[in-house]
Amino acid sequence: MRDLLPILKSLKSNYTAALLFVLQVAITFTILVNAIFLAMEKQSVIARASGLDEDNVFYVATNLPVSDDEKAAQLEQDLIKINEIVGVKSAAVSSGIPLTGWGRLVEVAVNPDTKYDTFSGYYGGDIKLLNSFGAHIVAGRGFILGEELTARVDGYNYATEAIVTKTLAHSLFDTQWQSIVGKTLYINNKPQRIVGVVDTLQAAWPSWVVVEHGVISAVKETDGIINFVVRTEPNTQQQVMAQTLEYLMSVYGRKIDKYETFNAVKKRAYSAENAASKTLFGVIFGLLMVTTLGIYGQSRYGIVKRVKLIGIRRAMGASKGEIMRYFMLENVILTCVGVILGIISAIVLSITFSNAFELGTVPPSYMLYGSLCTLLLGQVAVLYPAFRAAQLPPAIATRIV
Amino acid sequence: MFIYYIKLACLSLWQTRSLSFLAVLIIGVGISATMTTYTINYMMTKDPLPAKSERVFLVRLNNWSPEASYRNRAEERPPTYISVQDSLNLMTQNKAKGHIPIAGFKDMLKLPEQSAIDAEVSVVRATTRDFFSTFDVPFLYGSSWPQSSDTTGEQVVVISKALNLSLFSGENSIGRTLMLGENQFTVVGVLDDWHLLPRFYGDSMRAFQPPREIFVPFQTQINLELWTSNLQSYECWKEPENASVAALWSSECIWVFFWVELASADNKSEYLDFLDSYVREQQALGRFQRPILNQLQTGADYLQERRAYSRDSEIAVWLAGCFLALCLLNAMSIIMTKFQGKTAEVALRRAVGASSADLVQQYALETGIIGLLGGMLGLVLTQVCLYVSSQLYTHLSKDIMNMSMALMLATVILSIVSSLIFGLLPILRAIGVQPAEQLKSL
Repeated sequence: MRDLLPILKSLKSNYTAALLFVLQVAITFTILVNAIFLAMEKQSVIARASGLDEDNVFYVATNLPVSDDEKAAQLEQDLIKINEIVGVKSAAVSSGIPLTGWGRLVEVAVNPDTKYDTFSGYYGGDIKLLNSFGAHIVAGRGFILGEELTARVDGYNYATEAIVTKTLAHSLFDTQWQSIVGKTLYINNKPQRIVGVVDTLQAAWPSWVVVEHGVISAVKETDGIINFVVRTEPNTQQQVMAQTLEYLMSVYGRKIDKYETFNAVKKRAYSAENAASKTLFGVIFGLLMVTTLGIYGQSRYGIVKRVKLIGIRRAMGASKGEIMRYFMLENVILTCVGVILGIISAIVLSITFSNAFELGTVPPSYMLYGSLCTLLLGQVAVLYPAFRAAQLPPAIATRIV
Repeated sequence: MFIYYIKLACLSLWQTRSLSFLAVLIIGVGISATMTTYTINYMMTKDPLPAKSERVFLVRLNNWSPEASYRNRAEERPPTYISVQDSLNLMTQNKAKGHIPIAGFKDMLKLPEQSAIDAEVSVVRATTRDFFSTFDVPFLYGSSWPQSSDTTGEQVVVISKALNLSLFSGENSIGRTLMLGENQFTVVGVLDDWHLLPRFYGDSMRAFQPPREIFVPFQTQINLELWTSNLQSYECWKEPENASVAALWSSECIWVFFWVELASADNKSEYLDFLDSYVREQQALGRFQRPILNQLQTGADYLQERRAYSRDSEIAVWLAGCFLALCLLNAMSIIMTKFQGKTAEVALRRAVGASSADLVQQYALETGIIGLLGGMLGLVLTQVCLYVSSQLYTHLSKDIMNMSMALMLATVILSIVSSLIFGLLPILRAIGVQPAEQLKSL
C-alpha cells in the first residue's frame, strides 16, 4: 500500500493517458452490464415453460375429407386410430397449438354483463387434450366423458364447462386462485363453470402480454383445418409421426397442411429472441476483446515509458514482486475509478432504455458482478506487461542514465 | 506538398506498423458493429414506399357489434380489416386511384401433368391488379392481369421469380397453366426480384417476411369460394347465416386488409368524406350501428400501432454506438502512443521552420489515412457480419441484410471523421512540444 502515493503522483503527471483508461473502463462497464442484462432477459423469455411435454409432443394440421354431417364420425375414427398407434401416450384434437402464432382468443369476465376483465388464449378439444399436451391439473379435475361436445366452429360458444390456467385464475382472484374451481366465468359473455386449473399452458402468441392466460374447453371443432396433438413415449416420436402421417394419408381426399414437433414450434416462436441474445453475446465478446487489448496495450506502453524508473527502483532494492504489485495496483485504482463512473453511466443508460423501450432496469446485483468482472479483466490484461516489467534487469538503469 | 505529406504519412505508418495496424483493426471492428446494427435497424424501419407513403392508406371502418366496441377498448378504434362485402362495395364505387384488397387462401399447387402426390401446400395472395402498380412490383415476363380479370374473376395468376424457377425452370411461362386445388389457372405474369421492406400491407406479425409467391385476382377467390380458416386472422361479431363460404362472404366477418392509392395527398379528406357517406348509406340499411370512426392510415402508422417494429434492433444500435466510442477511445490512446515516440521528430521540424499548421496538416493526414483504412476494413467486416446475421436471423427476410451505396459511403466518412476528431488530441499534444527542450535531449 505504500506504493499508493507514488502511483497517484505519476498519474497526475500523465493524466491524459489515465483519463483515457478510465473512460474506456467506464464505457466497457456500461455496455457490459446493459448487454448482459438484455441478453439474460431474452434468455428468461425463451426459458419460460410452455406447459407442454415439449420433447414428446408433435401436431399434424389436416382436414376431415368428408361431408359436413359425417365429420364428427370421421374425427372420432381418426382419434381412435391414432391412439392405437404403438408409442402414442395420448392423442387428441385441438383448435390450436401453443406458440404457433395462430390461435383463438376469448374475453373473460367474472361478472355477467360487464366488459371483459382480461383476455385469454383458447383451446378446444376432446377430453384427452390436456393429457396430450402434457399439462398438469393443479386444482379441481380434468374433463370427464359426459362433458365432451362437438361443434362446427368456435367451440367456446357451446361449452358449459371450462378449465383455466393458474396464471389466469391468479389474475382474476389473486391469492384465492384455487377458489375459482366451481365458480362461473363469462367467456365471451357466455357463462361457463370452471372445473379445474392447469399449471401452465401458453397461448398461441409468444409476445402477447397475457400469453400465460388460457381457457380450455371440451368442445371438438370439425370445420376446416383441425390439429391432431400427439404425445408419444420418449424416443418414439419419429416413428409415431411417420405412422400417424401414413394412417392419415390412407384416407381419400386428406390434405396434410402442416406437421411439426413442438420443439420446432418453440424454436421458431423464439427465433427473434434467440438471435437477439446471440447478437448480444457477440457484442459482449467483441467488447471484452477490444477492452482487454486496449488495457494490455496501454499498460505495455506505460511500462516501456518507465523503463528507466523501473531500473532505478530495481537497483535500489525493490523485488520483482514489488514491481509487479506496483503496476497491478495502479491498474486496480484506475479500474475502480472507471467502474464508479461506469456504474453512474450504466444506471443512466438503463433508465433511458427502460423509459424508451419499456424494459426493466438493471438490478444492483448486475452492477456488483459487473464491477468484479471488470476488475478481474483489468488484472488479467495487466498481468503480462507487469510480469515483463518485473523481469527488467536492474542494470538497465545504469545503461540509460 | 500534399503528395509529400502522403509519402511522409505512409512512411510513418510503416515505421509504426504494428501500432497502426492495431488502430486500424480496432476502428474497423467498432465501425462494423455500428454499421451492421444500423443497417439492420435502418432496413427494418425505412419507408417501404417513399414516393407514395402520403397517398397510400389502409381503410379502417368501424364495423363491429352495436353492444360493445371493437376488442372492448376504452378508447374506441376501428378494426384493421374490413368485410368482403365492404371491399367489393368500395371497389365498385371506384372513388380512389387504386384499390388493393389483401386476401388469400391456401391450396395444393401442382402442374396439370404432375400427380396429386407432388402437389405442395402453397399460400396464395388474392388481390387486384392495382397491387402491382401501387406497390411498384417489377415484372420479369408479362404483366399484371387486365382490369377485366378483376371484375369477372378470371382464373389467372402472377407468380414470383423463385416459383417460376422451380415450376417452369425459369423460362418465360406466360400462357402456361398450373393447378391450385381443383382449379386451373393461366400464368399471365412473372415477377422479377421484389423486396418490400417492411412488408406493411398484410398481417403485421409477418412484416419482415418475404411476400407470397402466387397472386390471383380477389374476385376469383370470391367466385371460387376458396377459404382457409387457419391462414389469416378473422373476427366475426355476428355469426354467418350458415356454414357455407358464400354466407361468410356476405357476413359481417372482417378479415380483408383494404388499401387505397389516392391520386394525391390532397385527396385524403375527399376520400374520407366518401367513406363517411358510404357508411351512412350502409347505416340506413341497418349495418354499422356504431359511431363512425373511419380512418385512413399510412403503412408506417399501421405498423407502429401494431407494434411490428422490434425495439431490439434500436437498442442494438445504441449499444453498438457506445461500443464504437470505446473503440475510438482505444484507437486514440494507440495514436497517442504513436505520436509520443515522435516528439524528437516534431521538435526537429519545428526548429527548422515548419509552422504548427503544417504539422497539424501532416499528422491529420496520417490519422485520416488510419481512419480511411479502418473504414474500409469496417466495410468488409460489416459485410461479413451482415452475412452472419442473415444466417442467424432466420425469421427475418434475407433482404434486410443489404447495405446501400449511401450507407457504405457513410461508413467510410464516419470512420475518417471520427478518427480525426479523436486523433486531434494526440496531434495537438505532439505539436505542443517545446522545440528547444526536446532538441536539448537529443
